[in-house]
Amino acid sequence: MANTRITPAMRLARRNDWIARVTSLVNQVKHWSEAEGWKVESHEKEITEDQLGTYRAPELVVQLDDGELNVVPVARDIAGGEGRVDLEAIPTLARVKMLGSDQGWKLFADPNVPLRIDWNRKNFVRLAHDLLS
Amino acid sequence: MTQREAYDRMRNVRRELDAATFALAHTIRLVSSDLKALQDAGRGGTSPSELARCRDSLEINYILRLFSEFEAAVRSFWVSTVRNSRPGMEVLMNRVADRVQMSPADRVLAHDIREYRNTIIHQNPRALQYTYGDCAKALGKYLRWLPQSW
Repeated sequence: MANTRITPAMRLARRNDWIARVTSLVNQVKHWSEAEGWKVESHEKEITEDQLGTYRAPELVVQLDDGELNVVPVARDIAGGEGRVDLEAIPTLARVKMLGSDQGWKLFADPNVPLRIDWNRKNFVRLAHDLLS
Repeated sequence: MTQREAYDRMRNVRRELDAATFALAHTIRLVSSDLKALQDAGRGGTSPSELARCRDSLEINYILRLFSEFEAAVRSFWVSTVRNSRPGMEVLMNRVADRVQMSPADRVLAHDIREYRNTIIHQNPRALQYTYGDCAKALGKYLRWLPQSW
């Protein structure tokens, strides 16, 4: 049977890779949002996971006319993907889940219905408006 | 309390619903394929049909949880900014809506969910009239009219 023990070094590498992917996503959304003329605020969220321990990851609040969109990292170790980040709208509390994969971010509406759209600026802008409508 | 805290509490209810949905689906699969798991469930006082019933009622139960967080936020606003009293929810929602000059559309939508909450409590319906998402959206839009903090 394969040895599935995770060493501290592997754990740190996984954690750093995950934080780097979240940072890259947050920067991308920030760039796209600013290009739309939307105000953005950067924050950090503390996350605790069994395998990765406690760490801080970036999160983003995007202000639109109708409300705000939050880019919220949830966890690296999740069922069905390589990390999860939520796009959550306020005040509608609508949400799209983004699951990491080898092919980049995959989008899921509730309840776990895949949105078969590419993650790009045009779709992000449309999604932001849809989540707030 | 801040408006942000109220929204965060409501967002957390959705995460609990996600976790409960996943856990129940996993347990139901396990119990249907593993005799030991089925026996463990029986020893724990539950059966596959009760697990299925729990799964089917989950969304409705979490709508009640969501509404309770909403009610806590509105009551907190009332007590902090108006007076230390406990009016009924319908009256409370109307008084608060008047005070913050809420749009009629958002007020009506939130009342629809309040009435649905009452239906769930008093009539125990099995079918969903509103989804969790519908309820969250309506109650979230009501809260938008409250100030940033109170």
